[in-house]
Amino acid sequence: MLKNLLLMFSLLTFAAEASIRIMPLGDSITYGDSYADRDNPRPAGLRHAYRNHLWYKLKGAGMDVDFVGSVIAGQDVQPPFDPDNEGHPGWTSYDIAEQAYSYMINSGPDMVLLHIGTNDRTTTDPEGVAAILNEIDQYESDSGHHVRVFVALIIDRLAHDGRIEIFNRRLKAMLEERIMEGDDIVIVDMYHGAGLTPSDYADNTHPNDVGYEKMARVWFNAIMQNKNYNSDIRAFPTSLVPRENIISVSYDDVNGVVRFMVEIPDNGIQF
Amino acid sequence: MRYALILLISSFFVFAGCGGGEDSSPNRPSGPAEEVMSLDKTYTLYPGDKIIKLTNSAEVSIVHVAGHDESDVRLVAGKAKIIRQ
Repeated sequence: MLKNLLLMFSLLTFAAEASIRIMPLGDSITYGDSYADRDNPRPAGLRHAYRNHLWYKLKGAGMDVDFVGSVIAGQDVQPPFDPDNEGHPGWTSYDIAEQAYSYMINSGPDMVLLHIGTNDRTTTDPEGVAAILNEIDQYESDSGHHVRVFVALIIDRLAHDGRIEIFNRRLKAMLEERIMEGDDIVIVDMYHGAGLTPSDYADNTHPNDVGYEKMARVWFNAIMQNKNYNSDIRAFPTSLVPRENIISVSYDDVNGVVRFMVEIPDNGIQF
Repeated sequence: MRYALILLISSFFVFAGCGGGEDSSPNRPSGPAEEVMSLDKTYTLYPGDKIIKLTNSAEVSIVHVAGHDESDVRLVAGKAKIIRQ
């Protein structure tokens, strides 16, 4: 009987040490689509984008991760990796924003890897990304579950796209403002950081496998540098006041201390 | 196996009960139910306490340590009052 008890306790302990739930979120550059797939489509089981490479790197570093999302793609790739994701080919940031809340509810990620905006062809305004982040904030507020969002400054096209350059500049400014207000965002400079060269593209928009491996390296470094955080203090300011009332915030994750300045809302601050 | 499961569940209640009677805010001071805040003075607030602004705009700085019930609050602009639980 004692043996059974010890076994059950060890299983409970294992369950308590849960994997980090990571949601790859974006368009075809997350899913693994390319122009060639339009004429001769590969099965979904062989589409992986950067995700398989990232998975191998995280596992190689000893991280216990669980990729999450409603889409399955790459399940036939060898070596096998977790094919769950939220990559939606052709989608704009506005399309993702409409679904972002339900993605959060359904998958409950701890981290989101967001690479979106390539299909926002008519605008350089990152308001669609802001709308996605607002939906994630709403989810955090409703659920009490903290999400760290890694937002990529998106990759260029093979033929340099000035719109993407401007989009990224405005995106970075918007993200920096949100970080100042306490949003837990990590800016990932995929635009420069991946170091894509013309030979790293499969077509004008999508990297080939070498390019995706370079993207995975950037995601991996960002995750490894930002995987340790204290979710209790990260969630504390918005447990007291709406985000728009936060003037500034700083976190000391090592010592578990948060310092923040707020404008008192009309209905006060309830501790 | 059934007995093991019953014992496991029972032991959970035993462990969960350990320490359950401890006051979560043992250092909480007794004081006035309402207190107008002074600028730049640090107040310790506990769960259940509330801050209400007394001017159109008022700002406070807050310091909180993970795992602690209390937070340190300082009025930096405007006027406000604390309502203790």
